[in-house]
Amino acid sequence: MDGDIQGIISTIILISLFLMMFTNIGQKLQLMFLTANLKSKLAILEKLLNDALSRSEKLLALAGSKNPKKTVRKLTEFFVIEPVSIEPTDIIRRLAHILDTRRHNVRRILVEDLGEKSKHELSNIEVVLEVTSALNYLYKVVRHYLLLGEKTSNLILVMQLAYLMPTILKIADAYHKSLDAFEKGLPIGDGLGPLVAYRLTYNAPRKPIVEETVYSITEIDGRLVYVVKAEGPGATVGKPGEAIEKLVEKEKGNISRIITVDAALKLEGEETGSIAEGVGAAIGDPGPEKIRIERIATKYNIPVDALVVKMSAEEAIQTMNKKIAEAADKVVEEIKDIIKHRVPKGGKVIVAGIGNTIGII
Amino acid sequence: MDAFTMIQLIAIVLLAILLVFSIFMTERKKKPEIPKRTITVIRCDNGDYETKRDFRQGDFIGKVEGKCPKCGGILRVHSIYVEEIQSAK
Ligand SMILES: [Zn+2]
Repeated sequence: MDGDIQGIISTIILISLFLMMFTNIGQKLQLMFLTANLKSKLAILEKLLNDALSRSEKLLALAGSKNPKKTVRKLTEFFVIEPVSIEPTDIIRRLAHILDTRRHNVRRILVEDLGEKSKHELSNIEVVLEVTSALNYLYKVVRHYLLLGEKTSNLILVMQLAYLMPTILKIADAYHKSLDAFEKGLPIGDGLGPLVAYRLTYNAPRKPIVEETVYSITEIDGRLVYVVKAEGPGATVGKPGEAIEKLVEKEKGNISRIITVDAALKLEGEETGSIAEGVGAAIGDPGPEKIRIERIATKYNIPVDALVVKMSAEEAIQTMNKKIAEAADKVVEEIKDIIKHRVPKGGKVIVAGIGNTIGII
Repeated sequence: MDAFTMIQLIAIVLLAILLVFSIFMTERKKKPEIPKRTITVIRCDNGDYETKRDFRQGDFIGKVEGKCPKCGGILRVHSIYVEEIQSAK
């Protein structure tokens, strides 16, 4: 009797080992487990998306929207087609044109629905919708690959998705958490540049120079300092490149230095709030603003300094944390140091605080 | 009980331990969220007075928040940030 059971068990083990090794049952099982797991993760993504959608609708309804559902749908599905890149002539101008058109169109859709509102309120709503749109895109892409993998029994596709899923969920979670800051108009990590600009000028008048961008004039140790930042406290990054270009032209190139300050992505393991100095235009736009700084600096042979504060991608879009807020003061000291040592007395210098100025005037 | 049955039993027990262990590990990965609060720092233009309070809707850095109780200068929002709440152990 004892021998019988033992015989049966070892036969079963042998047969299943054989099946696992020489047929594709093992893979089928793996595919089944992975898709089941991915479906539960997709449900988490869907929950985040639905929450973002309902919050966007609520925000629009509060702002006086006639049809929040329709506006949210329209703006979360809004897309931009990148310019042709195999013909590089004037690609930057074409890209800038497309980005401008996008901004104006989105603004127009909002104004049509909400009526005339303050610039800052519209900017904040726009960013909330942008975040919702990003979540919508993530959800749709993940769903697409999951369904495709399932439909074609493509284990490799499903496996890739399974390995990427923790990262995707982390990104989605960061986007979702950033809604909190944008809804309330709180400064975010990326607002470091504008915060430094604020700490350099405080209540000095903000003079408009180009679209959604302002500059202030201050004096540091006998040097005239132009401080450029986006126009706050709405959620906008402005056009710092164009502003710098205009200021340099206004001074006919008589600028000793351009100092750019921005938040930079830290590498895993680096300390949040640590400061690094380098050269070049510290600005993370798609290109049009950065190239303006580079071109104007090259035209008049003006050195460009870069000061960055390290933070993670999540910290950059969520409410500013204490480490970053404290780093701003250190950056201000460093800028003063640079100006004292590298700009002659009586010279002129431009400091640009790059980043999203939400919650910072 | 012969050697073969012993090996089978040991294998089954080991597998069970492995299974429990892996489930335990994935469960433990979920760290509890640290409670946070958003602080608004208000400072006098003359730098002789500073106070902190919880963030209120409508606050932004640079907003005028009345007069300084010490020197009568203008109070402004100096900083807004999130802080982890230190839990008393
Ligand atoms: Zn005072």
